[in-house]
Amino acid sequence: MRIQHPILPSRSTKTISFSFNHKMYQAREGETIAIALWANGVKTLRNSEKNHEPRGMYCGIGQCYECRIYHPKIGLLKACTTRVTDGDHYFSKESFNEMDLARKGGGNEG
Amino acid sequence: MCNHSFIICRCEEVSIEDIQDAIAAGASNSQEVKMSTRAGMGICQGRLCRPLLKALLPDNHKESVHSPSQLTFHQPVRPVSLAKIVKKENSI
Amino acid sequence: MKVDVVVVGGGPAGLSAAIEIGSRGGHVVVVDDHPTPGGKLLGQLHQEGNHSNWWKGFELAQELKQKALAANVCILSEKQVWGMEPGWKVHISDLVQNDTGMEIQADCVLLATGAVEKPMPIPGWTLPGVLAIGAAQVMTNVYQVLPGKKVIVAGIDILSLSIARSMKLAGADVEGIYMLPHSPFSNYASPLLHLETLNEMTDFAPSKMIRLTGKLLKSKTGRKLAAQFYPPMGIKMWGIPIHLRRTILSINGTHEVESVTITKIDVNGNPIGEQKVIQADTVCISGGLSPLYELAAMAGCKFVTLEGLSGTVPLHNKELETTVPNLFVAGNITGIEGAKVAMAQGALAGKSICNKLRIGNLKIADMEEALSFVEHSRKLSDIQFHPKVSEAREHLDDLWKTLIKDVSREDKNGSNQKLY
Repeated sequence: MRIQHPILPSRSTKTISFSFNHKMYQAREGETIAIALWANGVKTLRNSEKNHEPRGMYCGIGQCYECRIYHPKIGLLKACTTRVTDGDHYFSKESFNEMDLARKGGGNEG
Repeated sequence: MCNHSFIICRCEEVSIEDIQDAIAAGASNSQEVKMSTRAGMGICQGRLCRPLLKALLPDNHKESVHSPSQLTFHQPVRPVSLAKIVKKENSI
Repeated sequence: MKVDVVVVGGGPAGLSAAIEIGSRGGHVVVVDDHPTPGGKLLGQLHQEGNHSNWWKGFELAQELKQKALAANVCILSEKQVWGMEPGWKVHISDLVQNDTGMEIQADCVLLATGAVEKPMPIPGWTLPGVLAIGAAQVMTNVYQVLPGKKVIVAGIDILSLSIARSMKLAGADVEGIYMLPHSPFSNYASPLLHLETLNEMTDFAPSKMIRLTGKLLKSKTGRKLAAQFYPPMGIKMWGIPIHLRRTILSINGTHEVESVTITKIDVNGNPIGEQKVIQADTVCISGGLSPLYELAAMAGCKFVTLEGLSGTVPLHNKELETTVPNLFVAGNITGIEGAKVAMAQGALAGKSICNKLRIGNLKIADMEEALSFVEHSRKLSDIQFHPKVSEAREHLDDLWKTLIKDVSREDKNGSNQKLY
């Protein structure tokens, strides 16, 4: 939930868009991906590799890597220290892998 | 401590029971626990779980001045692509 | 690229050091892994002494940044240092995986990497919605996003009290602040032991009642009474109940945090039944701060573990040089003391480096002034992270002197000198 802090000055009001796992969201310019998603009620960023348990941001300062997500061109990103780029598409690892597999499968048929 | 299980190494999903099993099987310091459970070997390289393993298996410091931990620190301390490491080696 | 100094970390210590070096003509680069420099200053917000003026960390951060730029300091943001080699060769990269990175050569390196939060594992702590308390601070004060509608805080300390207040100010319902579970990870936290540290904090408390109760906490008997008769509904600070006699047994939920199970504890921290499940959507855990020293470890520094410094720190002398020549430290990496001391240490480290590299025209008086300013800042700091910090600093000095004596004794016997 975004707020106007009673004591601190406002953040930028410019709105930008991005997607996460194919769903579109709005962000305030300057927000990190993790924060923008949290503000939109999305706290789960991936499922753990071994036990497939939901995981999201924990330390918030780029130390724990729990917030790791993927960008098709850049690869691994830390959502808590990476600012949203207008128009970008981000994915959790599982979605990214599915997309990758589908794309490779599509190529072979063509 | 309560009965419910909890994770010690978040990256490798190693639980407190896994650590206790490793200790019961003979691991006597954090390096040995790391080798048998993978705790500390994940993407954060032990940044989160090192103090937890240290609390469960205190390093015995006879001297006050010491090296930091049984879990050694290696370059790179952050994940980097192989291209960077190769480039570095080529430039030597 | 070749410079005089690389500063790792663009927080109050790093920026203050860079300003000293840059303004004397030194060529200095600051590497910081966040979008904006300022480190933890960016999220800090608290009321000063007489409880009316708000101290806003981000304003100080902006001021430091401007001063640094005016002193020709080069600030590299959103970059990380992943390795270093003696000489120094500092390996820097973007935060994303596929860039090629760069290498900067420098005569001196200053590690001003600050601290990380100590994790405190509680069953269910990996659920989305569980945050380290620092993350909640950044979210609320920097990005102005509420961590949650119903927030539970685990861990009663300076940081958690301050951040709980920030969240409430921002509109969150902070249901309560609870004790950490009694375990090796919390250093066997218990209400009785905790009252010893809390009594240091009560001068900082807003209400007269708490300040008066604070005097009760100064004696062991007083603390036993306080622990035994602590009100079951908790004592409120800024309208938030602080539950000294309750802890969290588990954090519950299928996909995200949905509730927590609370239990009553005795004065020694042991659960004594009376469990309750409370709805919540966010849990903030405060396990305490610990110096982030991995680069110092990798470089081969010697370390000391001192409770008063809140953990393991690289051994360093009064001029903030470590046991590895031309490797300096400043700020929370030297021991947790907060922003004001960090700035004073940064300024000292900057001057020490200028002295070593003969940058500018430093006089002995400048060094002495910088040293006493650190002491002065320590005394003025109205937030103390540990009551024994001054003793710990003295102990650190003694350990350094002993080490130097041992090294020069070895030298006389013909061994290799590895240490400065």
